[in-house]
Amino acid sequence: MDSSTDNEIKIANYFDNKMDAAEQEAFLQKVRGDNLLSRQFENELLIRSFLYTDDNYSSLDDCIETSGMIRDKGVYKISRNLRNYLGVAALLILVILSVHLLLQKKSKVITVAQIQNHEDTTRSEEKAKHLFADNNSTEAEYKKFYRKYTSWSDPVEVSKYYNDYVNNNYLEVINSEDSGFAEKGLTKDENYLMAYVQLYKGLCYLAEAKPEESINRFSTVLKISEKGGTPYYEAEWYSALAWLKAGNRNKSVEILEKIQYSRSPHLKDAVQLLHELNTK
Amino acid sequence: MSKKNKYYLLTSTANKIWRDNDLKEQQQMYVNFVKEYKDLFFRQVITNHSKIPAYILAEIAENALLMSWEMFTNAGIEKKITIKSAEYSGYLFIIFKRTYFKLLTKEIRHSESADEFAQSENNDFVTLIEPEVGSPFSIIVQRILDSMSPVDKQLMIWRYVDELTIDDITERKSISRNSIIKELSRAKKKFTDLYNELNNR
Repeated sequence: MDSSTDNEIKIANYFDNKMDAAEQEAFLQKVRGDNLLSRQFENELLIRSFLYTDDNYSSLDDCIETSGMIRDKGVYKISRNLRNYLGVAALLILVILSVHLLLQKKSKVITVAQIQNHEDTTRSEEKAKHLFADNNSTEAEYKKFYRKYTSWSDPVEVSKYYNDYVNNNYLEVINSEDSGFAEKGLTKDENYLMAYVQLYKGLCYLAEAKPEESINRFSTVLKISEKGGTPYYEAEWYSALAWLKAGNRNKSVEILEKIQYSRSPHLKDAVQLLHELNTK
Repeated sequence: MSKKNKYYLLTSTANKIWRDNDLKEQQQMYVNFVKEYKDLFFRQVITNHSKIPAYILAEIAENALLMSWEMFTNAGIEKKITIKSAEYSGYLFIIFKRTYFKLLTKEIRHSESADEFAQSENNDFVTLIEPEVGSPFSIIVQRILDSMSPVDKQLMIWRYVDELTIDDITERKSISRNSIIKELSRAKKKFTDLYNELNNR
């Protein structure tokens, strides 16, 4: 058997989980050192990248199902077919929703015009409108990219705030003392812990659909936290989302452009969001 | 490994923590798992790639680990999984590996599209990234598949779209495993040659 075919067998075994941990490590070591194997391995990945459909990507939960550990194959195949039908149904719903949204947008324009004619908008509302909206609807992008913050490594001193946030007790966090963690005794730099508290408060305001307040909190985090740390990167990303929520696309783009050249854990999302905002 | 660390790696512990839905214990479980297995997991998936820098590969692995842990935990809490082995790490690794390669291939596709965009003197790149109407693939991929023989095309679809294992395909075609691998290898070569041809590489 020639080495190319031998490599193909190894690649197939690797992806079909027919190797134990030591064999997998040894295989990848060989990929690093063997030019032919390396080319074949990259080619395998390239083909996968072209042939994986959106269905493959959108159903990452399949990772559990297709591992053959929950359901038997028969059920899996049925569920896969079912998903295809659901995909078609989802597409239809999407088309209907788009038409509905278009019609709604049209009626919204009339409503705004009517309100403006009445001239009953207060000055503060106008100011807020000016600050937080640039006439581009960014709600869809916000909804698409917003995911609740989760972490397993935040400082234990501020875990009360974190747990309240995770359990949707947003008002608890918002109304709590900024330095409540001090009661538990400081073991870390005060600014470090304060940055987390401000981050949680910002996240809670955002979850409560109050982007203006959340932006203020995130801005505090960016001022007091160490650049490159978790609170910094999270505040940066969520403030980009908060500006989106507030309807200010330009401010959001400004922050995302910074993120795309950083080592933020949200780099990929930021690049994608930026692309969507720029191509809109 | 200390007894306490080992405790958090056991399937029985995971089941108990999921049953109680104890967030702090879930965190502890993750901390212990990462301490014990993260490096080993990463060594089993990360290798050099000519177009994706090492730091991006590491970030993809980090993301994949978090995503797979979340999927694993949620499935555990919802009682969707039954793990037979004493430790849950093997189970989790399968999820992690699949997640990692899905994220990586997505990154590769993005990088390929960007390359095509940069190299293209006209609007040809559009053919690569635009989806074909009524097809889940881009126009160029659909064109390549249509140029292949029905047997090769079927093999490619089974392997990469339906994500069947070589054993699954062997069962369907009733020929030996090695023959399937050889057939698939030829089909892959045709696919790559056609792709390069259409892109004037």
